[in-house]
Amino acid sequence: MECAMAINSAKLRIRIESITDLPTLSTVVRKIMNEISNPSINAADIGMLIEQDPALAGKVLRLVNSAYYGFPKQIKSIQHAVVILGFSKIRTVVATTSVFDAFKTANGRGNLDMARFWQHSLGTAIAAKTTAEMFGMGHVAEDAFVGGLLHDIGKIVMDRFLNPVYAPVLGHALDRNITLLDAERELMGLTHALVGEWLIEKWRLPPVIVRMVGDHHKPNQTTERRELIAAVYMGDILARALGVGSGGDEYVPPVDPVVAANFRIDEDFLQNIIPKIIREMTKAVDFFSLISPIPLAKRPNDGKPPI
Amino acid sequence: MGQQTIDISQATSDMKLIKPVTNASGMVLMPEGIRLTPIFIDRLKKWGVQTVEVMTEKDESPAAPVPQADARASGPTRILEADRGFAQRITGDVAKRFVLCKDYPLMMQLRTIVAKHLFQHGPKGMLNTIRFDSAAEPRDGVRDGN
Repeated sequence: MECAMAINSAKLRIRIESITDLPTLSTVVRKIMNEISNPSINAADIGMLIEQDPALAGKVLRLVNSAYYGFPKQIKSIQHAVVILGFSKIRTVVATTSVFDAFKTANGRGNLDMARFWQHSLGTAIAAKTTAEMFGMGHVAEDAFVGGLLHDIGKIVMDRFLNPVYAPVLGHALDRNITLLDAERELMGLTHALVGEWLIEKWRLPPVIVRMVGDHHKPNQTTERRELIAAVYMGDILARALGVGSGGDEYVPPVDPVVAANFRIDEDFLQNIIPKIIREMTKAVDFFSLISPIPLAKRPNDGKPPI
Repeated sequence: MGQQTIDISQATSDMKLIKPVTNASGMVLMPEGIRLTPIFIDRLKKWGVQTVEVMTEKDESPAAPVPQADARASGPTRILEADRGFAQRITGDVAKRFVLCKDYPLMMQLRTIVAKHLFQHGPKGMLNTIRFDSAAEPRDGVRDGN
């Protein structure tokens, strides 16, 4: 049965902000995510912040001493680990582990398959980072990774904490064979991108992350950081094309021809980027097994394709 | 011409980078494997890059077989019987995902490229093989768009 809901976005924002058990980020994590953008920050300062969170410090050391990096000698100090990994990689580790942790322990149960949701989020992160590099934006590619990781966070907020509102939207998408984004626009008049933007603002993360989450479905309408936002936009489409996980629907939306023209996304670009993304995803399996907050169980390879 | 280091002024669009271009800090500005289109060559020049390590496309090894189900596969392909079912399953699943893109030639090109690479790559190593054990269970069963 079609639900014709007209949800006032101001009222929805008030409802969301009044949720008392909305996932939060720790002060340490928030400080790290913000300070890493500060040009005057140094490794010692970041190291001291990380040391305030023993679990996070343990993950950083485990990662830097793993076969993934393959350093010959054991690294024992956090500050040394920060220098080796670099600020951008530190932010990737902090963002990935803290977001997983925040929603792992949060209340609320919903309809989205969370395992497939996180697969899609990680796939988008990797694809967005690769796209940023292909755009010649290698120096901010890790920002694109974080944007890709968080791009659909608004869906979890609505699914877990406003499920009576969102469950009909999920059902509408299934019934009509449309994307969840289109179902949101039809029934709610606003999208998960806006809700995600509100959460990222509430978490007081840097403005670049707010914009990547808020604008990832409207890359033509943004005036700042166009390449990064377009990288997250493309990362989502390419992760869907490769069938990595599910953000609530599994359709591949067409790339906006204006975006394709502006960023010179043509067959050559796609021929280059697809094998690159697949290679990066293969490497990422090892990386995420080291920093995941919980044991990752590899699904037995039953010969089925990864789609 | 095989793999070699050349002056950027000699770069042409039938060449691919075989070594990434990095800045002084080691950050990747342009990854390996990228084909040097005129736009990328221009960008490298603007960055002040003087030499690049490249390979021309005719030096690359022959392309791996493309699934027969793809009507645009060029040249004869030979697919073992055991692979045929896998190829058809991939082609079918990929086609289902791209159902909204039928009127977009670029997306149809992407569909072909994806199907080819998923067939070549096989099921190992993709993120879908990772299971997040502590993911919250859905309230009334899985609903993920299928």
